Amino acid sequence: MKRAALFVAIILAAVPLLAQAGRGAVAGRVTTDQGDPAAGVTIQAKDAAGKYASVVANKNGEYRLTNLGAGSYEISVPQMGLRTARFAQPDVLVEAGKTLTFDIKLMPNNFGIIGDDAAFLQIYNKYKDLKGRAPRTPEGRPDFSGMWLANVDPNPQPAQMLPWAQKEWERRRDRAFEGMPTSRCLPADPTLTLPVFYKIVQTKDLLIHLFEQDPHYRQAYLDGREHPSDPDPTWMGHTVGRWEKDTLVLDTVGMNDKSWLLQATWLPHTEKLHIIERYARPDLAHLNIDVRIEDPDTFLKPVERHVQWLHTPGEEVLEAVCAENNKFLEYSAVK
Amino acid sequence: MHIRSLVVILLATLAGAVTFAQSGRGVLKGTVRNADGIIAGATVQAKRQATSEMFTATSAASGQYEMPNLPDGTYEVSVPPLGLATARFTQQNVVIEPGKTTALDIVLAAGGQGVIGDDNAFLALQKKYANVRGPAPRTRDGHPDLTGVWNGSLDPNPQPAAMLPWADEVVKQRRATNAREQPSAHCLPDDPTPTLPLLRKFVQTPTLLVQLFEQDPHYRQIFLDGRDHPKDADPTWMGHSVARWDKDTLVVDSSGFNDKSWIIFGAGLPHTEMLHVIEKYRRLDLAHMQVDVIVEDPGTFTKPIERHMTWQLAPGEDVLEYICNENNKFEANAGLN
Repeated sequence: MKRAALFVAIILAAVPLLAQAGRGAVAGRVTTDQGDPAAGVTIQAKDAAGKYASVVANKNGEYRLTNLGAGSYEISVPQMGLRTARFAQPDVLVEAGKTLTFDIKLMPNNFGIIGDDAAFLQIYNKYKDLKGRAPRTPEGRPDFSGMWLANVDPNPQPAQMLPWAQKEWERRRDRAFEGMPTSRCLPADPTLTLPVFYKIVQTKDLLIHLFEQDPHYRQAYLDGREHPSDPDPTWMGHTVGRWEKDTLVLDTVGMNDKSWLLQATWLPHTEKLHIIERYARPDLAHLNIDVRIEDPDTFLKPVERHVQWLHTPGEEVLEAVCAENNKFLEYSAVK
Repeated sequence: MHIRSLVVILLATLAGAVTFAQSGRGVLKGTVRNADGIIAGATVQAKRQATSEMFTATSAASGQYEMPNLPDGTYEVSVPPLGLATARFTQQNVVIEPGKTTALDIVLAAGGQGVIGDDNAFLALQKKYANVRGPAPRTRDGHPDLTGVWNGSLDPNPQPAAMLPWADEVVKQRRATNAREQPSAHCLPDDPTPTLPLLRKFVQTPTLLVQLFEQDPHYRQIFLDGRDHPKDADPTWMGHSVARWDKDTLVVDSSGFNDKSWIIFGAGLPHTEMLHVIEKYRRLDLAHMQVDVIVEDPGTFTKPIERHMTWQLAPGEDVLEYICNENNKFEANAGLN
């Protein structure tokens, strides 16, 4: 019997050795373009099968992705708000039994220069460990009220567009997106996916988003009404919501064709645009939002975005008056 | 003393008093209309010039008004503006003679900006919701619920502002240039005082009152959670607003303004960053809200300015999306380019 026990012990000891032998790790430090530690950012390793392993950088910006099968990976860091641009390095080779040192320097996002944009990481890290249960309204519904810091889809899929839309999008890109409505103090994207602050004010009958961009608010009617049969097209459209258990499903139609959709992509669309947003609050700190963008005259298939907003109870939406001292036309020499 | 004589004397005295009164009184009547037809619900005011006594009547569905019992004398007859739809009407030296009827038909001119949209629809909205009745609703926590879409109105008898000389000069200058530098003409925010007679929506929660409106900056937050103003607020167009309940009146206190806005609709007054605005909202019943505004600024006014308005609930309306920067023709039409 003593011999059997010894045998078992040897096998148990061998298993971890075997696992380590076939596995490797990637570790390093993530910094911003300013050289500051990029605490709180997510580092992802995508294997050949498209499967992700991920870890969040600590307060020193350090990360360690362990237990990776030997092979080739794409190492990426999703865009964080408007502060840092997406980082992606394909063909990173992980060897069995070794730890690859892989430091990452994030580039600034195009817009990561002022105000909340620049402060994104500080604000994110200030609130990311907020714990608690999702509150409910007196009627027993999840209550989404409060301040939220939005973020982008960590792994956005490219839109598949009809030829006219693809051509229009390329035209915009080639002209450095100079006709973007917000640069002329016109309204921002009706998909509400811009990664900035939003305040939600929810009552039994109404859910309002307040935000710093024009037109500064959106009303979603929760009182059971339908869309008007022939709405006047507007930038933000007409939004109604209904509850599917604890998920609020917002449905928007009646939009004009002037807005540019999805930050950093700026897609065109027609008046057939139809946006479905699904809001769920799994806990106090998080709001998970699935956005589905349909427009059969623009997209070959619906465009989806899956984002997570962070509750930032000490922050506030500030007064932003675009028409006050807007320098776009002057600086871009667009007349 | 004979009881019957006393009664007779008393009766004679009473009859004498009535006769005397009637002999000193006359009637003012007429119809209120504008270019589009008769106007119901207009307030007609008659101010007796000798005593400043004010008498009022409201025009009926037929447009007719009547003041059957005015002391004789010379009057100033006026009709305050109805939103932005009609301009103020004033007629001096209307004579009321004892025992006679003075006829005065009133034709209201269009309001200065009464040309489009809600401006012109003010009268239609007033009529459409004239029969909304009921008690003022309350929230779960027992306070009046101010939630709803409200059609703003003007103070029927606004008192002129008493200003320091620099401010008088600025107002003169603004008038002389037809208010062309008015911020809203350049898609900048409107007046932080709630004096623009247009639709606005109130959404009230236990800790917040959100006001949505069609003009920039499109919304305003009033904190009901007991917080104070920040010690050193960044000056903004709308300022920082906190409120507390004084019984059933919500008292809103705002400060932290920049000095750029033109305040008080129709007056376009300047002000400094010392501006302090107090608003008192009291929902009288389902359909009406009493709004009292006190505007203080020792750097501009020699005494506080007050405005007193009654707003009407417009439950079937909503605030619409309005994008000033889209096709704004002001600068082109005003020849500023």
